[in-house]
Amino acid sequence: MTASSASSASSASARLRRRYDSRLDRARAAAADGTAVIGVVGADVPPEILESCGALAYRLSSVDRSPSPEAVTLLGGAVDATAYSILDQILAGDVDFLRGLVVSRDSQASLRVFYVLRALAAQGRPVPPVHLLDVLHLRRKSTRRYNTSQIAGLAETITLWTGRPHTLENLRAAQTVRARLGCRLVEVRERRRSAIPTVSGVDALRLFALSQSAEPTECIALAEALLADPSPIPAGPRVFLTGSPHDHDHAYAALESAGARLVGDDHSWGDAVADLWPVPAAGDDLDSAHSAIALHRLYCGVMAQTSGLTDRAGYSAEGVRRAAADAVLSLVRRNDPAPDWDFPALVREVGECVRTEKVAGGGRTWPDRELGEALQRLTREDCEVSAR
Amino acid sequence: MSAAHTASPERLAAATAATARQKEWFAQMRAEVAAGAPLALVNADAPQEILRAMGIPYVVNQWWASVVAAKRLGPASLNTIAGLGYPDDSYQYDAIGLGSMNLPAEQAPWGGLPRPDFVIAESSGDATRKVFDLWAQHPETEFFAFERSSATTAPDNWWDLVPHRWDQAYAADRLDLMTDENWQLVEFLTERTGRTFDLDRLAAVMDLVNEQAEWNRRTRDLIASSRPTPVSVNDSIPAVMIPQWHRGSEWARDAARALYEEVEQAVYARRAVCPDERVRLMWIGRGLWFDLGLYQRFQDKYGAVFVWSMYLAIAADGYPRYGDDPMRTLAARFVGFTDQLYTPPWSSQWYVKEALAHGVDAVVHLVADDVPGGTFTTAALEQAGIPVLEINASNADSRGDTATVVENAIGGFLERRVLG
Repeated sequence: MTASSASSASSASARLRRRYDSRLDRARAAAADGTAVIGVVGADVPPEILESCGALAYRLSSVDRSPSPEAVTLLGGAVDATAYSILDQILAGDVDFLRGLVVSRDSQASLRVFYVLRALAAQGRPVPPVHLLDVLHLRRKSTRRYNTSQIAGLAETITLWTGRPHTLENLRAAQTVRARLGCRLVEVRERRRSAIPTVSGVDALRLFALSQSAEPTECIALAEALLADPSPIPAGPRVFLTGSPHDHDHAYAALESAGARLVGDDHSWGDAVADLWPVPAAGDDLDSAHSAIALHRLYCGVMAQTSGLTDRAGYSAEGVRRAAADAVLSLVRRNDPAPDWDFPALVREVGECVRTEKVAGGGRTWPDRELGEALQRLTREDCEVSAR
Repeated sequence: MSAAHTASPERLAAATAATARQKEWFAQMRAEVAAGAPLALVNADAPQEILRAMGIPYVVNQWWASVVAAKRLGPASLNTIAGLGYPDDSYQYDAIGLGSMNLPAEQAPWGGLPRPDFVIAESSGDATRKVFDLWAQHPETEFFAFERSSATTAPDNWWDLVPHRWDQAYAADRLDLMTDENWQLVEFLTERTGRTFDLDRLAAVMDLVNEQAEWNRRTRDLIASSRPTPVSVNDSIPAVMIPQWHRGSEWARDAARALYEEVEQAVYARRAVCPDERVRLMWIGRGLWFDLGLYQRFQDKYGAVFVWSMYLAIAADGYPRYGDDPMRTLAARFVGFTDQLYTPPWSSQWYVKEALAHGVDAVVHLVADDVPGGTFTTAALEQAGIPVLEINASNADSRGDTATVVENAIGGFLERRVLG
């Protein structure tokens, strides 16, 4: 590695981190400049629909502060910590710059956020206009038709919120930019999982998060800056992360600081993002375009909260194999039940050659010490394969 | 001066008859399955009417879980799940039936559930589908999944709309989806069983279900207007729910009518669950299967009687659907079933309506981990002037000291907020 490439790597990574850390402020600034910024809760909202109408999609994530008792009470007592935090931010006015909020049913926690906001709106509380995108996940024609209808309904709502018509031409333009971003993200993912990785897990996570929260053209530039440098990241055990989604970078940063190389993951803020935006297929009308989006999303990614056991285990195990991971670490938050059910099948699917470890009971995140100990257990010479 | 009300410790004949019939049916079903008949295990919120129309025997998962839990075998069943590496602290109500298949034969209730050929369930929670996938890991069992679309609409007073104007309550794309899936289930079952499906037969089943629901509505309305309450929920639950799981049969329709006639007679005879009725209570949430005696434990000390559970009320309001297209009408019965019970404002408006109609003084609200909207239900009832005790617990998992905790909480609540 030359001095200049090291500097470039450091610079690209630092720039990415700054952009990641300031993503909320930048979204607020964009709204102040007149951009229609539309909040997104959940993984299933196609941002190209929002961008077709001239809006900026901003996927909300949890923040490092205890949610208010009201947020906890409204959602009920057994909900994923990320949902508490997102509702808390909305109630506190942290995202009052949003033109509207689209919630997808990517988990029961997200769905509860929608139901709460709809009920609060009916009571006259000052919450953003909210729309539910009820995208479903069984791989059938009937589900595709339903999802197509849902996407069309989303486009109608976004048109109302932005005042800009949702046309085939606008959608194609948005999809083309997204497809360029998708190509770059696939390259980033390949570099992350290559034999000698040149992209760290935390950088990939930040870029994937920004791809759901910032202008796609800016994300392309950030990706290209990361790709411009071939410097290998420090050596370490190759770990694949599964379990609950990570909508912030704490666990990634902590694990990589502790010596791991996070070469892959299987959640909606991670590697799966790279598959979301193919080159748009030819089509003559919006309905065909919506149907194509529905079809693509039905088959590109198998998330824990919306899948069956076999499909999920196959998807995750394929990620483990492609990343040539030595070990699988499942981090499971309290009240996110799906990953707990997934873990035994994944252990069987990856086989005895890959060490596995599960850390359950996390809140929004896990203490550094707990993550470090989990990593030690995974990498000990005498480590036994664990099924739980 | 009117005659005094008389306590009647005997069970309702309708409850006794339903329980006896269920045991007889279960034994007969076991024999039929042993002789080669197919068997389906189906979740309560999936359209059993298709199985009824095709003559395929089925067992409702939640009913079977309630039997296992009532026998205090819920923990043992869940332990078998945990022994395979799966969690035993989530989706217990879905998982108990699965775990019960691993119980020693001599322990299994009612001789045990035969291994089903098909399991049928909706993809409702984050892990419901995974639990049913586990059933299908057995080589003799296949899984047919329904989607569970969400309540994209929020009509007021859904109970007025859904019998005849259900297309105003549910979005068209939801109805389209479930109608499609109903036909897919028909194809799935036809291919695997060789049995035929007749739309006219389904229409006849739907007619019977509607008749049954109308009898349940009469019973519910009669109980709502009777003081003191003539029927305990311990009796009304089996008297309503066992026929519910045989919905679409003439026996079930007749059982619902017999229940009405018995309740009518009880009112006429001034029968009282608790002659000294001072507090009318509503139980919101699933039945506490492992301790059904709880519902009657507050009568002597407090004169507090549970007059309402969701089972009769949803049987009255949640099931009637009329329409020219039986398959789409069937979809309208189930597409929003959980919305009616758990999604605000559907659920909250309905519970308030029911509480006011039954003149309840207070509500005990059992909030399970896997259902949303509890807060809004509680708030709506409190806003209507009805005190609510929220209890967070699983209705089927008796581990720990849940029964004691629930009983103590209710006693304290009555003393503090209702009688104090």
